[in-house]
Amino acid sequence: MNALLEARSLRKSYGATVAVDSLSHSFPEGKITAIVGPSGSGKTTTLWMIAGLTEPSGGSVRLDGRDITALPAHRREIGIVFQDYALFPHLNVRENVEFGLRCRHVRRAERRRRAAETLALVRMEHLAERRVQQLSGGERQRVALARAIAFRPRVLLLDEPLSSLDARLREELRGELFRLLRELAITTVYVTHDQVEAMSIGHELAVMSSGRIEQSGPPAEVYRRPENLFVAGFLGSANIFPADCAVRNGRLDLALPFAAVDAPAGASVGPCWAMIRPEDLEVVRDDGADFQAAVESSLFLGNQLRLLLRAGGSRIIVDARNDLPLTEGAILGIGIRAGKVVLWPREDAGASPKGHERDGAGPGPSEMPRGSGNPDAPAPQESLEGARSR
Amino acid sequence: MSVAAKISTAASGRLVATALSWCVALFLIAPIVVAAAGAFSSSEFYGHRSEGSAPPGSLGLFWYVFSVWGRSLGTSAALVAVVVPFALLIGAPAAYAFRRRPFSGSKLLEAASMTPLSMPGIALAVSLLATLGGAPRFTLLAGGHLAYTIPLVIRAVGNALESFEPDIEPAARSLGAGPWQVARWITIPVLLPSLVVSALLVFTVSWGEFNASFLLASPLAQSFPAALYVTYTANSFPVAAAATILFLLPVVPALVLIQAIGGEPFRRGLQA
Repeated sequence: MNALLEARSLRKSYGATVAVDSLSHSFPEGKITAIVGPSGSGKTTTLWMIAGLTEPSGGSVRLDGRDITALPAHRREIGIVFQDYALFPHLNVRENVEFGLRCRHVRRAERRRRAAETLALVRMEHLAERRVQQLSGGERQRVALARAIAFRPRVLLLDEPLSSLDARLREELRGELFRLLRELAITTVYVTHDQVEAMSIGHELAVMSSGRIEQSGPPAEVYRRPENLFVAGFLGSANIFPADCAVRNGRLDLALPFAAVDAPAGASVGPCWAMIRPEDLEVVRDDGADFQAAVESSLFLGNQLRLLLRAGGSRIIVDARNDLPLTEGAILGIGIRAGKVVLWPREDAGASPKGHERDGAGPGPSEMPRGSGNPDAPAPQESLEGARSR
Repeated sequence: MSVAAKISTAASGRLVATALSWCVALFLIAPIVVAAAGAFSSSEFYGHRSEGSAPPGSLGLFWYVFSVWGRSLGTSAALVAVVVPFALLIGAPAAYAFRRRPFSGSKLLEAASMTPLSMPGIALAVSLLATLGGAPRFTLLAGGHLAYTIPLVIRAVGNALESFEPDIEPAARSLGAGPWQVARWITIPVLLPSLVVSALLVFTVSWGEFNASFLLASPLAQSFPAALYVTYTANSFPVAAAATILFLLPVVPALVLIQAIGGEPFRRGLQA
């Protein structure tokens, strides 16, 4: 039943605006691939092209090796949960769920049986005869999912299925939805702008920006080893500094603006960007510290303490234990966890990482503290703000 | 302000609103009542009756009216029978195209399609005569009525299209519905209330249209409102009033239906 879905050089342009820019990706069989990206990055357009609801300007969509680009939507056997759910207002819950079966001329008794079965799966069987106008947001979302899977599609697409719910309900339904999606084991593409949602749902994560996939892979891998500034900044917070790798005393050293540490494995000599996640920096006793930093401000987040530090003209974000005794202006010893520094080559030595971005519009990069090249940038403050909402 | 005072203010506000509504309704309905009452009264005020055999209020009077203007009643009925389906068949797809498949200039075109509504009947009649002068009179009459009614359909169906989620048709397609199934099971059922309201609106407008119909009428193809004019000018008031009642007979139920369908349960869509 499971299908391998592929997009090959998929492209969509509206006049001069390119929404999706030769996107190629294999969506693994029976797994959930989360596509995450800022709004306007082409996620929904990609989904609609896969579903056959938007005609691509170029490229192809393949299902199990078969080119389905020219196949109309109703013959694709692809279920889709829309962002606004798009439930049929003139049909009740059961009739909505039965719709895909009705299109396939399934007999009434069988239709009823499968609709009941699917509604039970999403725990909505008791509301089968309700009008959809009488449902709450969370109930609508579950009916939309039931409708999309009742006809046993080969691929399931979800377009921001939680985004129209309020924050508390979203949190509540997320776990349930994710458990269900994993149980279904259909080839699933889950589109969202929420990085936490994307990282927790996906077997595979694809980060999208400006109509292309920047990086894909297992979520933990993409988070830990982002291949560029955009990915680093979009998934969580990141400290990014201009650095240099050089051989010293027969060892490869990484010179950060405020410290010199052992270069990570696989580093090559030359100027580079160094990325360190706030949680990979720890407050340590002086003898174990890689560098000293002064506390500029701190933010109590409940489960942790987010520190904004300054060292050698650089601003650094560190996530520390929430019981850390702290005094304003204190000097702390900071250690970098082994193997947690990510390096990218830096061609234009000295420039701010800003110049490195392909897309200046995404919220990700603006969340990052700038390196010493731009010490007065307001970005670290934004980063603190961003942290609070998570 | 005390609670009691607040309540009494609210109550008196409601009283004023109710009174105002009644005044407006009376103002709109009174002339109809006066005109209709004439059919049952023989007062000097309404003028002398000229048809001795049919006293006011008698069935004979209505029969007399029907025997004289039956032909124009038939013409009006035929007009309605043609205009209602054609106005829907042209107006509803046009509204769908304007709202769902917009093209460059479609906004302008939609606005332009509303112009007949503000055109004087005489101008419309003259322009129809100038362009289609050789056509049969009935065709010209139907053309005039369509010009007045298609905009109503475009407006009503267009508004209905705005009121439901645009993704329901793509949703139906993704679930396996081909173009005909989408139309039959989704688009038409969802639009049905607005289509029924449009049909009733077209019916009442076409049935009562006077200006263009009067100018386009020929002795053999004359709509009932145009004939009413002749009735009013050439006959006594009871006769004209009886004719008015005949005219209103199908209109009142249509208006009641429009009111009923315009209600909330129907706006959400009829059960398929």
